[in-house]
Amino acid sequence: MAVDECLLYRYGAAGDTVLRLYGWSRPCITIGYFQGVREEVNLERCEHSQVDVVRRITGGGAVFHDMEVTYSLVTKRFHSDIMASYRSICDMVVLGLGHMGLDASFSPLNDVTVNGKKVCGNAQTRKGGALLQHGTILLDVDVEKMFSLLNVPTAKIRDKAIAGVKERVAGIGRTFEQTVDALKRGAQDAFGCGLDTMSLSGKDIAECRRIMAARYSQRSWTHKR
Amino acid sequence: MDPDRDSTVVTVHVAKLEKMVRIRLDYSRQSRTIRYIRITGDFFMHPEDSIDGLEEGLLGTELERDALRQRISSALAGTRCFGFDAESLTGAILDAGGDAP
Repeated sequence: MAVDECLLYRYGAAGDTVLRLYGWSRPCITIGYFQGVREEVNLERCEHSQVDVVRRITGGGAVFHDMEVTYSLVTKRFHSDIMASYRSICDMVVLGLGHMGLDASFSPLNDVTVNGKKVCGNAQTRKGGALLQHGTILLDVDVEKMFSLLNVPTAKIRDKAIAGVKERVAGIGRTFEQTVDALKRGAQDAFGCGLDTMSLSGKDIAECRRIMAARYSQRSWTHKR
Repeated sequence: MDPDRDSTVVTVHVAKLEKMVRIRLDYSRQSRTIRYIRITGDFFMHPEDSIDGLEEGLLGTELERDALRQRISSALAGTRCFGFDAESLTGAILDAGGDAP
């Protein structure tokens, strides 16, 4: 999350468009900016399972990050209309999935579906005149594990909730590498541009560390609501 | 609820546009004005920090439809919301107040 925020301010706000594609060294939960952490997450179980929990600067729901490709995109060139901006950036995902033979479509406000099932969720924020959109492309889904870490109102609802998610959400059944490659091609198709590979500079890394220390590693941030 | 306390806290869930909005409300039963409100959920607001102004703006507001709607509309001027609007949020807060024992 600190890297995404660093890219937003250091690159997006400066006029550069950057696409970051990444995975997770171990499972993690992120919650939306407006969510109550205790309402959404079983913190005791997360601690026991060594699953970190962190609040995003973007809205939306809690996400269990595990078997997925995560992307973030920062840019100063975006539609002022929020729905249109989601659509144009999600086109990258739709076209990328198409390169893997998947018939994907944008599902407003912020999802991408394949065969009617959600395979990608997205969230965005706009700060300093730039936009950050990040999202996850699910490779596989362990719904039982996810619900062991997220709160559902009652045990009675748990089975129904699990069944509902299994019905509505799916992984794309491709590898991390295949998906990263396809997303790069999707980005070139969607934005009509080439891609240069970049690495974070020493200053970038220092800024990421500063942001992490000031915000994401602070209990007061994650427990803000 | 403690009958000696002039206060009550309730939580309601509102599902609209497939987003969940939770209201945690503490209000005076005597004056029916809001003492504390926390609006949480998987909705979107742009800019995000508008939520602070919205919650602060609702403090002291009477649990009455027109007063709430006016205060919410005023607080959300210039803010884009996905998951609720002034009308549905007004209804949710009233539900929270009305559901109190």
